[in-house]
Amino acid sequence: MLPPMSFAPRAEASSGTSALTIDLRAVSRSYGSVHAVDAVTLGIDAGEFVALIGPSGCGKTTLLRMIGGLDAPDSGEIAYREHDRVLSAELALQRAAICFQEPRLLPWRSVLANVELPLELLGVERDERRERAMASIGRMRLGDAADRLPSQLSGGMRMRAAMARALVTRPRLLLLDEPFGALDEVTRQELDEELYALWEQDRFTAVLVTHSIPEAVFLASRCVVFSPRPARVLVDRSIAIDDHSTSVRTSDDFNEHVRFLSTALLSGMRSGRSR
Amino acid sequence: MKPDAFVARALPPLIAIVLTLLAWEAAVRIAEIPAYLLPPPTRVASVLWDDRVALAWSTGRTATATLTGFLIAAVLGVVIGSVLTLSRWVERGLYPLTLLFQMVPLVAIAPLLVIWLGNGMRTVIAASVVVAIFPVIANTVGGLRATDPHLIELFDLHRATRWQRWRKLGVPSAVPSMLIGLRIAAGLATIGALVGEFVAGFGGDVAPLGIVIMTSMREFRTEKVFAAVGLAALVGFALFGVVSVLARIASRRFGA
Repeated sequence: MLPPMSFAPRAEASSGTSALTIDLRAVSRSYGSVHAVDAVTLGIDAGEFVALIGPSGCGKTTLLRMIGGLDAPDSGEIAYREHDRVLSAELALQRAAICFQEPRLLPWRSVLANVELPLELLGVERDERRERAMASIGRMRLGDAADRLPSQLSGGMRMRAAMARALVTRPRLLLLDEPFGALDEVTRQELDEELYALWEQDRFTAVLVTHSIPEAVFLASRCVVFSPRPARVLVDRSIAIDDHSTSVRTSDDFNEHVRFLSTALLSGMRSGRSR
Repeated sequence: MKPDAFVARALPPLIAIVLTLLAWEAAVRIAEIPAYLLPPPTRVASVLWDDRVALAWSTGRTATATLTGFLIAAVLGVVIGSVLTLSRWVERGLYPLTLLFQMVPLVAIAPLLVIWLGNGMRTVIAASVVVAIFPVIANTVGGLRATDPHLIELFDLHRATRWQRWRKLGVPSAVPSMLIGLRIAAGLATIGALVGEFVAGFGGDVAPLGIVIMTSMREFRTEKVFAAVGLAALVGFALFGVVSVLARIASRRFGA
């Protein structure tokens, strides 16, 4: 049960903890003469982990930004639901978080102060802020580095700090834009594994944009392959893997998924080129 | 800083100063230049010693005006610079105007300040503010404008208010740039105060350095002019030094 009134009212007015359902209907977006996204229709269920895969510059990041309210579609509609209740974008996105490709930490703030930032902006009180930030930092196993500045951290640790910041508001929707793209392979797999564990615990809705098909197969319960620009859905495939330790990456089952999605991606790129 | 490092950095300029003074002294004596044209450093030094009490008071007054002018310029400059970046329209409309103002030579404004504010300290401080404020405004605007767009997006994502964005993102990002403006302003505040004193330094019990320079000039006491100029330079240098030290501490804090 929640302690009475201890959360900021603006932040947690709709403090239902259930994940969001998102419906994209014929969503299009162009920049000048460039069609980034073309009439994409896609339903994302509550608590689902969806990976968006596609060639570089195909518009999947644009799609993610529109879901997160950082960009608006030219036409089409994005609807957010909590169970059967339709929410306004404003209300729905109050508990959304994005992890970008870059950690985007404030260089003058310690890890702790960085993680506190979203709560600070929501007006959460200092003591509670600190407590929740420390908990989130602990979950990302960064406890020892709480007082350090971003410049004193490795790339992997910076990403952990960014994740801790994204999770500190207990988001109902987590958007991930190529979050571990700049990291070395070992660190990346390690963070993939932890991200999966966090998602399994919290069951927020997650949307991941990635270039790495193995990463998508490892993390996601569903992979959507897009065509080259303008982005259209080519393949929509459910992934069911029981084991989520790093060793699964060498299993036949895992590789079958990877092979299938790679083929889909490549054939999409070929037909895109011949058009 | 370790003592060795301090010596390594302080020693070369000290040697250069001493050598310059020695060369000056020697040149004046060998060429037999009359003292009212160019007094040797030893004569300047003896005036400094003989008039030490009066000169200390004068320096105090000029320093007070400089410091006050600098502080007002610092606060006002940051506020004006921040207001200018509030909206693109305000910035487009008013920023060129502030730059235009900067081109107006102070010496031309100083008599106007006398008309508006009369003789005395107020006018001197106002002159100091007028000269020192523009680099603060320009560097505040520049710093705020250069805020990382990625971080602005982060604040937008979390629906930060304009005030939150200014306080928690804009100002900290702009601090290094603001400090550059403040360092420039420290030097300019002294110049502004002296020009102010030339036109409005009269009155009051203690003559500020600007007045000391003017009266000594009329009395052909060139060595005293030099003494006062040296002290004025010292005021500017001290303020510059303090601001530089604060700047170094702050930039370590803000990681720039």
